[in-house]
Amino acid sequence: MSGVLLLTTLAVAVMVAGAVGTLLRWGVLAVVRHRGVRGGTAWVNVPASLAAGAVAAAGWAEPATVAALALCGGVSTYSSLALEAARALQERSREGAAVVGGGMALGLLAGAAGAGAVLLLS
Amino acid sequence: MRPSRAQPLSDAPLSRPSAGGTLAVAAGGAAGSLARVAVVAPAAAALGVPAAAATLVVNVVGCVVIGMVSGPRRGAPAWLATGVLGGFTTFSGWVLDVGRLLPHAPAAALLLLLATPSLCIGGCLLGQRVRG
Repeated sequence: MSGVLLLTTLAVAVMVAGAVGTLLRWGVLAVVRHRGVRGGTAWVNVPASLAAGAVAAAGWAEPATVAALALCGGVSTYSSLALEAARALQERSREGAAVVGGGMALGLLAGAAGAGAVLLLS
Repeated sequence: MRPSRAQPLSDAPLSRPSAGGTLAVAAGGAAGSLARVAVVAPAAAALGVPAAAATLVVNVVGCVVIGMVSGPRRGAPAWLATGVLGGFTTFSGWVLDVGRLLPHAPAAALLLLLATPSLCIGGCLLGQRVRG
């Protein structure tokens, strides 16, 4: 593929992956909030990190890796997580702070677990 | 002032979003993701800025902006908060950056590990304060 064509393909792939990931996050968080389930953004950030760790360790060709990581990036979010943290601080909610901190720790562990699983199996 | 009320839970079915609203959230997510992957990341590479630093800046900027646009009662519109800012910021990118730095530059990995949540939460609070 020529350089321009490859870049255009990558840009389209990133946009599609970002859109699909964003809609997935929107849907999952709507259900989480509707049902009043604890955890908030951890419900999207932890699975996205698990998948991102696995993709990064899989060593696919660049376009596939870029698109897959864009999907993970679209599913995960830091802005909504920061809002959750800000709310927990303002309400002095220990539970809210624990959920935010626990979600971060679980996300980091999930990324390592995803990469580790792929490296062990390959 | 409207009286504050607990979030209604689970009794009513989840309302189905409109086609236009769904399209707007998807378009926002596409734009936010493209800005992060195809604009900020290559620009940082061209300037010699490490990829992890670019992700950090992206996340902090997204968190400041969400603080500025989110009111205490009503959040920002979904196309902006869920779409553009959710697509722009990335939690999985932070996790990957920490993991990539850890074997070669453990001090930088630890710095990124602590700086991202601190600056993102601080940035969000700052954004809320700017909004007033």
